[in-house]
Amino acid sequence: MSAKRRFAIGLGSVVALAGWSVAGSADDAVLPLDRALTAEEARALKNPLPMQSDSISKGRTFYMQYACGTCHGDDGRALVVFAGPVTDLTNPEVWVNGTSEGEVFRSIRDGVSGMPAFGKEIEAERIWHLVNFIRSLWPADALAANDNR
Amino acid sequence: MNEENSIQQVSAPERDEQQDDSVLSTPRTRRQVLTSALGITGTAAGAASLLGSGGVLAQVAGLPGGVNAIDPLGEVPSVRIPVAITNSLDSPVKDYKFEDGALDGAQIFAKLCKEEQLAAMFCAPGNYTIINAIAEVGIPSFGGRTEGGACAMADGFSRATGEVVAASGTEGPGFAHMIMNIAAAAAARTPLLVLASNASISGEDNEALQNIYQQPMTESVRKYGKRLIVPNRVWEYGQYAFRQLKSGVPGVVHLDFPGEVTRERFADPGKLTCYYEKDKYRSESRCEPSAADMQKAIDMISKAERPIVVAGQGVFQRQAWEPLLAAAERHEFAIVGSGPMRGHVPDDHRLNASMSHDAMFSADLVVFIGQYCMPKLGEYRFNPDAKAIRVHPVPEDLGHNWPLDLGIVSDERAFVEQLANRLPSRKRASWVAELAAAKQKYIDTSLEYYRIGLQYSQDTNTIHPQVMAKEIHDFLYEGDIDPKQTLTGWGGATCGHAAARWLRANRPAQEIVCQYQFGAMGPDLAMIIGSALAVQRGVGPQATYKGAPVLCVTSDAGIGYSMFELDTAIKYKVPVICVVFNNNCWGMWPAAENTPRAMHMYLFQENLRYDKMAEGLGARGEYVRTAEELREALRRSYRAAETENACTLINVQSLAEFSSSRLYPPAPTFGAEPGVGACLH
Ligand code: HEC
Ligand SMILES: Cc1ncc(C[n+]2csc(CCOP(=O)(O)OP(=O)(O)O)c2C)c(N)n1
Ligand SMILES: [Mg+2]
Repeated sequence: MSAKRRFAIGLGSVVALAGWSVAGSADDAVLPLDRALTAEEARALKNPLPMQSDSISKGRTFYMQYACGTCHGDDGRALVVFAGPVTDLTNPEVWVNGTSEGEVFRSIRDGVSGMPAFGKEIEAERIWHLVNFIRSLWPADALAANDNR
Repeated sequence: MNEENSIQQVSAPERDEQQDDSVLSTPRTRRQVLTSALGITGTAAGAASLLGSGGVLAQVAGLPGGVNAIDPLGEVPSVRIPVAITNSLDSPVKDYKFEDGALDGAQIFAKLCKEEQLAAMFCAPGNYTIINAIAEVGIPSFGGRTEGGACAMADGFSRATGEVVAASGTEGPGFAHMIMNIAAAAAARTPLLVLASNASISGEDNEALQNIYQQPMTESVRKYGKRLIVPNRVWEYGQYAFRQLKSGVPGVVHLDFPGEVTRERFADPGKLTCYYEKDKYRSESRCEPSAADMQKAIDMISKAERPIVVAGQGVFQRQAWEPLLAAAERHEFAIVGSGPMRGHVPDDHRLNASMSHDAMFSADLVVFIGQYCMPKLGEYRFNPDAKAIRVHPVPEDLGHNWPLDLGIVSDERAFVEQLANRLPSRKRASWVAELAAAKQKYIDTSLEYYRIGLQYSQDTNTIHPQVMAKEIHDFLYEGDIDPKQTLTGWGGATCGHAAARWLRANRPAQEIVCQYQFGAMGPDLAMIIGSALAVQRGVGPQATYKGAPVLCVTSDAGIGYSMFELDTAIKYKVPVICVVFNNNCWGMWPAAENTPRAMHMYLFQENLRYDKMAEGLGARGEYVRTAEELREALRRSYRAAETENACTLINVQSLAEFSSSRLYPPAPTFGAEPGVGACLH
């Protein structure tokens, strides 16, 4: 690291944002194309796709297609930690990046600590299917508690 | 035992050769013999007068040192290869024959290895009788800096060639040091023969020096293992080893040798059990697919709209790439390679789906051929509803992990040859177009990652991993160098995944996937030095580019495990360019973001000078902080490699922060599998 630049790890504030965008999304008009979403923006997002069985099943397919299971395990429980501690996607109690629909969308699109951003590879609509699938892995009471957040 | 052994070895020439009395006075104690042999008698000045400028002792006895071994005080002597190494490599090969006298267990074992054409043996000294005998019979033998390094070099030699190789270490410690890389070789199904001495049978359970029970330590990573205990069965157990190494799915074989076995001498081969030749103790026969299975496979492939063949390691191992490409051309199916080496399905082939990850999911039939390490559904980007055929040389693994519509027991080559002969000619324009579009998308996304990385590089005066990888790509494949020429390999996490995206394999084993399946950080440089030795000698598929430079991309964490093997590379004159991605950390540091008191464990000192350390080992060093500097360094290093066999370490200064997608999005990691970037299966 150059002497000028202090170590930014853990501060989470120095975000360089050149050219970061959502690929081919129906929501391009409203989502910023060139930077990560802020937590507030994420919380304000509404899932355009109802959480119903066809969307959940598409989400499961995309979970396989984009190999999320490489790190999170095929059951989402992340019992293997090759890539460092990985979130158990089935238990929202241990999540650290927000559990509202929009925040889950943001985690996948923009990446979280230790997880790459998938916004370049996965179009927004598919990410929303993934959001529905992942939330379908939660216990019913946890889901209810999260509704409308 | 060990001291005894060395004394005997150094005293042998004393008896055999006419010695100059002024150099070697008699009678002498054992200790005197040993110290003079090592060139450590008296002071440096005393030794200089003893040896004279020509290093008489060294020349006479063929011992370490050689011309100019003693430098005048005042000048710092330069790093150099002693003539004793050259002399040793040039010394005559022995043919061990019972007609010429009794042979000991080690020599008998070496004789069998020679007859089996063992391709190479790598070691750090120890297991002396065995390694000396193997070197003496003319099996290419290499001494490395650690046993773990030797093991990784052996593995790299095999991944580049498909050949059976050996790695050897001493007793307890040397063997124990090998274990990570034995496991890595096992994960990669490398036909690796692990050899280790192991004390004596008579001394078992007596707390003997270095004695451990070795076999239980390899239990979970080997195909076959045995502590030899009956001296006259040494030839027989060599047969066990090679039967396992040369048939079915390859793997690790571990033999450990107590002193009773290696030392016992046999004047009469009739005393050995099963003493006969290899066509009597093993067979080259291979399984052909049954007519019914073959017909079913042909029907399923013909009926499919979007078939894809995954050409696993078995296709490489059985050198079946030519008939496979012929079949693909004729019937227009997609092909993608998998395994610890890449290129048996060339990335530049029009039907190669190695970059068409987005199209893989639309395949309606997947045919796995010689996929030794099976993914589960979801681990390869295929639709779980697609039909699946698996062709495997042995039945035991059919149906493992991936549900099959058809399982076929067959030699990979036999199956592929039948495909090439029997599949009808066909065009699949829309499938081919879909593959091409997906490939274009992959390339565009990669360029986008590069563009973002370039901006980050300019903002920070350091090199982003995507920039490092793209520069290497452009240098190796888009400039003056034949894009099929340079063998590469990669390790590390942040850097490795970037490199994997940009490295190409346009011919068999042009790229070595060092982390394949096991994911070990560290063996990569040693492994690629092993591959480089195969390129140097033009072994197997490396023949066309015999002697070309090789390039390894490794990490700052990784280089800590293997750096000293640069000494080995230089000693054997293999031109290796080692690019070290220096991001001052274990790239997994974001794992500690939420536990601040743990963060220090993930970080190193910043700006470490691996280039200077490499200079200390006799390599060239380059330190770069911009894309332009990297480009120039690559050019200089490649030139030095071609003209002087020089090794270079290029220290690419980067930043820890680039591993965080929060700070520097998108920070892509694991590549989608199978294809370019794959390392898990
Ligand atoms: C390279 C490994 C890796 C891959 C591949 C990966 N993830 Fe993650 N993921 C992680 C890690 C590590 C975390 C934990 C981050 C943290 O602790 O802040 C995480 C966290 C998450 C979170 C946020 C959980 C929280 O704590 O708030 C979601 C949602 C998620 N992943 C979904 C996905 C989806 C969907 C995919 C596939 C498109 C995927 N991940 C692929 C490593 C990965
Ligand atoms: C021998 C070994 N130790 C630890 C790990 C766990 N691990 C996986 S990736 C990683 C970080 C690697 O850092 P580095 O090799 O420097 O690569 P970078 O991400 O910094 O480019 C670690 C510690 C491992 N896979 N292998
Ligand atoms: Mg690192």
